[in-house]
Amino acid sequence: MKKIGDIMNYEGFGIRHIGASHIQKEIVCQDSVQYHQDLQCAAAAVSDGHGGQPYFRSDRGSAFAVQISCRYITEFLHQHPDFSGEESLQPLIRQILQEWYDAVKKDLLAEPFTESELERVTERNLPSYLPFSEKHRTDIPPEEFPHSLFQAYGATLICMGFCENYGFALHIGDGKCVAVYPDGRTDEPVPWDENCHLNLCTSICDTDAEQEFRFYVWKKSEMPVAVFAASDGIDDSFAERLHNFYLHVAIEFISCGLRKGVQEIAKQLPGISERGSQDDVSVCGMIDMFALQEAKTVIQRKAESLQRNAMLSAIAQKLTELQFRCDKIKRILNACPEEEQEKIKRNEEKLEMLSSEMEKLLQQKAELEKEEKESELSEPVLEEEPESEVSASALKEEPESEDSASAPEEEPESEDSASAPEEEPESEVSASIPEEKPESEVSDSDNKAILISEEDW
Amino acid sequence: MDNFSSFLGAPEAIPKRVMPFFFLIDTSKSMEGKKIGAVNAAIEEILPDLRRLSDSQADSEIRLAILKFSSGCEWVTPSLISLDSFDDWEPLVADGLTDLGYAFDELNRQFSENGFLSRSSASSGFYAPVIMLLSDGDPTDDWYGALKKLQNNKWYQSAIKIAIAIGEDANREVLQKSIRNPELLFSVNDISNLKKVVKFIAVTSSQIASTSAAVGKENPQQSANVITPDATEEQIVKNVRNSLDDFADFEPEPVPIPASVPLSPPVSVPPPISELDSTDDVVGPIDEEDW
Repeated sequence: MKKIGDIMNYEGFGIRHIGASHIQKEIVCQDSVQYHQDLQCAAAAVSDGHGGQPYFRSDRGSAFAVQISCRYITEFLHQHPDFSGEESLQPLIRQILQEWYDAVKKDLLAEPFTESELERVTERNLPSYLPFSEKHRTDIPPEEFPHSLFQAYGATLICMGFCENYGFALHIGDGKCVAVYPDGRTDEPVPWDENCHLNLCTSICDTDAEQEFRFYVWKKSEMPVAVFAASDGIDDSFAERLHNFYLHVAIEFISCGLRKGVQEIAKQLPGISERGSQDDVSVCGMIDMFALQEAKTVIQRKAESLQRNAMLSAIAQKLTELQFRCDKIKRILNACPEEEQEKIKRNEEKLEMLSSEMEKLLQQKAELEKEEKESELSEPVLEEEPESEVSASALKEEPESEDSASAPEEEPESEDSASAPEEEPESEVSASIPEEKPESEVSDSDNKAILISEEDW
Repeated sequence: MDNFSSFLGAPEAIPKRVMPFFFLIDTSKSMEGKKIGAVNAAIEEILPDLRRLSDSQADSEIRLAILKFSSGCEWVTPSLISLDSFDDWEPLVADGLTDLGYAFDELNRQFSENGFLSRSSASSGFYAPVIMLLSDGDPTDDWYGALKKLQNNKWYQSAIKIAIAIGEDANREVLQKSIRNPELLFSVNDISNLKKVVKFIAVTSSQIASTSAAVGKENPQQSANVITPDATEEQIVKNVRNSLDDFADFEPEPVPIPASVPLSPPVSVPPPISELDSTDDVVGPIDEEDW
C-alpha cells in the first residue's frame, strides 16, 4: 500500500494576464495556459500565440495547443508510469501536433476566415486562404488542407508532465522552462533553440515542427521541487533575474500555500506586464509542495544569493561606466593648458565627485561579496537520504542507456555549479503534508473522474 | 506575501529592456578636417537627444557602443554603456588607413558569447541592435571576408543596419553590401548637413527599434504589424522619406523602392474559443470530461 510520500505529489497551476500593450492596442490576449492533475500524474502547458498579422488566430491556436498537450500528456503518463526511453516521446509529440492540426481544421470548417481577417493576409498567402473564407466555403476535404493555413494559428508551446517516477517537458519556440531543485539550485534544462533569436522563434505551425520540439526528462533520482514555464512576456520582463523571480514565487507558495500563492502571483501579473515587457504574461508550473516545504531554507538562501549577484552585476556595469567617465576627465585634464583654470577646476570637481561615487560602489561591492562568501561558508550540507525501496527499484528498472538518453545533448544552463544530491529526499508522511492538499488526493468526486475511460475524452 | 511584494517592489526587479546602438566610425586619414569635425559635432549633439529619448521610455533603455576604425580598430566605449556615461564628447581624431574588415571582425567578436551581446541576451532583455556605419572611403583590408563571417552572426542578421556615405569619394558599393535595405544607405555630400542627417536617423531608428512582437521564423518578412528587422528598416525609410523636406541637401541612394510593408494598425481578432477569459487570470484545472 502506498504512503502519501510515494504517490505523485506534483500539483499544477496556471495563470495568465493580457499584456499592457495588448490592452492599449485592443488586441486580445494571445497566451493560453492549462493544467490537469489526477492521482497518477499532472500536466501543465503554456502557449504564446504569435503577434504578427499572418497569425491572426493565434489566440485560438495557443488555446488548442495547451488543451491538447495537457490531454495527451496525461494519457501518455497513464500508459507509461515508468519512463520508457526518449524514443517514446516522439510519438507523443506527433500526436499533439496531429491533434492540433485537426483542431485547427475543425475550427476553420466551423468558422471560415472572415473578410476582415483576410485583409491582413499577404498577397502571397491569399490564394491558399481564399477557399477557406466565408465567401468561398470550401469543398476541399480536411486531409487536403494546405499546411500554410496553420500559420494563422501559429503559437509556441511549453508543456510538461510528471508522475511518480519521472517528469518531462516538451518545448517549441521561445519562452523558458525553469526547474528548482531540492538544494535550491535552478536551471533551464530544455536546450535552447538557436533559431529563437529576439522576436523570431520556431512555431507549432512550422512545417518541420516535429523536429523543432526540444525536450528534457527528469529521472526519479533528480526530480525538481518545482518547474515553471512561461511565455516570453515574463522572460522579457525579468531578463537575467528570471530565476530569482521563480525562487520568490516558490517562497510565496511555501508561505501561503499553493492555491492562495497562485492567486497572489496572479494579482501581480498586470503590474509585471506594465512595468516590464508590456506583452501578455503567463506562467504555468508543476509544484511538489511536500518537497518545496522541505527546501524552504535553501531556496530562501539561494534567492538571497541571486539577489546579491544581480546587485553585484549592476554595480560592475556602473563601475565600468564611472571608470570610463573618470578616464576621459583625466585625459582632458592632462591636455588642458594651465591658463584654463576654470576648465581645470570644473573637471577636477567632477573627477572628485565621480571618484567618491566609485568609492561608495566599491564599498557596497565588498560588503555584498563578503555576505555572499559568508553565505557560501554557512551553506548546510545536504545529507543523502537512504534510498527508499520504491525509488531504488525504479532506478533498477531504468536501463543504463536511458540514463544517458534522458540527458539533453547540451549541458543544461545552471545558475551555479552546485550539484544536486544524488537522491531527492523522500517526503515524510506526517511532517510534510502541506496546508492544502491537491484536490485529487482528497476528493472522492475527483477520484471518480479518473475512472472515466479514455473513450469519453 | 511580504517577500514577493518586496522583490517585485524593488526598482531593479524588472530591469529595463536594452536597445543597443552601435556606431562604427571611420577615423581614417581621409576623414581629417571637416568630415571628422562634422561627425564629432553630430555625435555630440545626438547624445543628449538619445538620453532624453531613453529617459522618456518607461520600459526600455538605449545603450551605446562606439567603435572607431582606421589602422585597426578600437572601442571608444568600454562596453555597451548608458547615455548618462557621456558627460562631454571627446572628439575623435582622424589618421591612418581604413581597416573596415577589422571593425567587422571586432563586431563579430562582441556579438558572441562573453561579448557585448551574448546568446542569453537574445532570449530576453534586449531589442535588436541598431548599427550605424559612417565612412568616406575605400576599405584597405579584407573587409569582404570579414563581412561574410559577420553576416552569419545572428545578432548582425537581426540588426537594423544603416550606412552613411560621407562625401563623393565614399565607396557606396562597400557600404551597400554592409546593410540589408539599400534604402538605408544615405549619401551626404554637403558636410554641413551631416550633423542633422546623422542625428535625425539615429534618433528615428532608436525610437522605432525599441518595439517588437513575436513572430514565427518561417516567414517573418510577412509579419506586417510586427517589428521584424525588415519591417523596422522599412519604417525608418518611410519616416526618413517623410522628412525629406527638412533635409534638402541629403540624398537617400536612388534605388527602386520595394513594395513597402503596410504598417496598418492592429485589428482586434475574435475572442478565443477557449473558455479562458482574459480577465480571469487564475486558470483552474481542466477536467478529463472537458477534453
